[in-house]
Amino acid sequence: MTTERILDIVENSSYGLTVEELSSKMRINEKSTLLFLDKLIAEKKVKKTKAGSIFFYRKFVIFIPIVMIFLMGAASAQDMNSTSFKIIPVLDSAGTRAQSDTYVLFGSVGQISGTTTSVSFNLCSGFMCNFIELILHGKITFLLEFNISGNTNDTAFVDNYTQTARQYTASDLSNYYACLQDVNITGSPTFGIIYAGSTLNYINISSGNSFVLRLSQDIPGNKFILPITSGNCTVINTRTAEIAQYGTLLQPFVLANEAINAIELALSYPSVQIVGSFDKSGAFGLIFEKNETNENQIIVKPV
Amino acid sequence: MKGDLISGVVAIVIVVSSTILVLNTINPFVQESQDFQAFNEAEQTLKSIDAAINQLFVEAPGARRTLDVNVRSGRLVVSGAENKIKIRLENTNLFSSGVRKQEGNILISSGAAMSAYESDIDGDGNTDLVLENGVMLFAVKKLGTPSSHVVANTTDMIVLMRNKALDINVSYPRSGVFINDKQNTAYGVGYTELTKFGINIASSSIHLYVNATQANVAYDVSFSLGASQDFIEMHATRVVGA
Repeated sequence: MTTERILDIVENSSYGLTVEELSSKMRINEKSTLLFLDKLIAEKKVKKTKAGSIFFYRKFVIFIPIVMIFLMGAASAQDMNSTSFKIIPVLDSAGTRAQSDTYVLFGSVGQISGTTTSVSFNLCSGFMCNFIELILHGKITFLLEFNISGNTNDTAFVDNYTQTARQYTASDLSNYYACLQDVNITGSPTFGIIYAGSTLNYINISSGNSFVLRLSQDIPGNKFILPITSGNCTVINTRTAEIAQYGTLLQPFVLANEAINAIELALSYPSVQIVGSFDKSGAFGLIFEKNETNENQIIVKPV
Repeated sequence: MKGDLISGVVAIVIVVSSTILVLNTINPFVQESQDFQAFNEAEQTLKSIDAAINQLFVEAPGARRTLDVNVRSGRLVVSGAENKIKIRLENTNLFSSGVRKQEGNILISSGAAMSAYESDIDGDGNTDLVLENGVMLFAVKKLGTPSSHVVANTTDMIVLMRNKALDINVSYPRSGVFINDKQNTAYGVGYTELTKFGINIASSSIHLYVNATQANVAYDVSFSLGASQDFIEMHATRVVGA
C-alpha cells in the first residue's frame, strides 16, 4: 500500500523528488521512505538520479529515450537533397569540430547549418549561423617553381633535408617549410614556403632547371608564409616555433633599420565580413549594424 | 665693471646652455610619453569597437550599436576590402621597425611604410598589382575586376618577387593554388585586386578570386605585406564547391 502511494507521488512528479520531499508527502520518516524507494528501485519501478550532491527519485520510464531518439530522427529529416543543392544539418557542440564526408564545421557556437554542393548557392539555417564557417573539408596546396639567378648554386631544403622527390609529412620534420637558397650570392638570398596553418598535409621539393617547392595543408585555418629574405634557409629554423605559437611572424627574418616609424593597430575577424570603407580622425560616432540580409556581415559607418 | 659684464655673460651662457641641455634630455621622454598615451588611446578605442562587434555576433540581424570614439592621434580606417578596422599612428617610435604583437584580437604592427600600387612592373605592357616596402617587392598580374571576370590562372599569376636589400629578382616563377591537389582547380575565371592603394600605408593585400569552373570549385586567396616585413602572408578563404 505504501509503495503504491510512493509510486503514485513519483509518477505525478515531472522531474523527480528528493527523499525529504517524498517523506513529507507520505508523512513517514526519511529512513522508511528510503527503504521503500530502494525496493521500488530494485523492482525497476523508480529510477534514482543525481544532480550535484542531491539524489532525485522519479518514475522509471523507457519511452522517454525512445521519444528522444524518434525526435532526433525528425531532426535528421531536415536533410534536404536535390540535384542542385544539399543541406546538411549539423548540431554544434561548443566550438568543437564536426564533419561529414564532404564538409567540416569548426570553431562555432551555432546550431544547425549547411552548405551547398553548388558554387552558386550557400545556404545557412539556424539561429546563430553567422558564427559558423562552413568550408570544404579538403587540402590546399601552394606551389612555387623558380631559381635564384640560375639554378647552378641553388639548394632546396625541406627542414634540414635536401632529398628531392620525397613526400615529407609532419612526422618526418621538425620545421615545416620548403626553402631555396643561393649561398654563392652575397647575402644568401632565400625564398620559400613556410607552413603556418592548422594541419600540415605534406611538403616536397623537386628539381630540374628550377626547383619546385610544394606545400599542402588543410583548408581550415590555412596559412602560408612566403619569405623573401636573406641569410640562407637556416634563418627559418629559428622562427618556426614563433609561427607555431602565434600563427604568424612577429618580426621580420632580418630586421630592417628604417628610420621613419609608425604603428598600426588592426582588428580583424576571420568569420565575419566588415562592410564599410572610410577613414576619419578626431571625435565622431560609429554605427555598427548586423546586416539584415546577411548575418555574416557587420556594416560599419560613421555617424 | 668689465668683470661684472663678463660674469653676467657667463651666467647667461650657463643658464641658456643648461636650459637647452635639460630640454634636450626631457624632450624624448615627453615625446615617448605622448606616444604611449596615443598608443593606449588607440588600443582602448579598438577594444571598445571589438566589444561592440562581439556583442553583435550574438544578436539578431538588424541589431545595432553606436559608439562614440575620439581618435586624437592618427586615423581610424575601416577597410571592408581588407576585412579590418585599423588605427595608424604616424611618427611613433615605441617599437622597432617590423615588430608585431598580438594583444587579444588586436594585431599591433610597427614599421616605416609600404606601398600598394598598379604598375607595369615587368615592362610587358600589362598592368600589375604591386606590394612594396623598404626590403621587398611582390607583384601579381592585374586580372579583370570584381564585376568583370576574366581567365585567371594561378600557375602564372606571380610576376616578380624582389629582394630589394640584395637586389635579387625572381621573375615569373611558376606558382599554383590547388584544392585537393586537383590540377583543374588552379585556373578558371576571376580577378585580382588591391585591397588598399597608397604610398606610405601600413599594409595592403592582393586579393585573388578564382572560380575554377571545370572543377566546380571557387576560392579567394589573399597575399598580404606589411611595412618592414620580408615575407608575404598568404591564405585562402571561402573555399566552396567540389
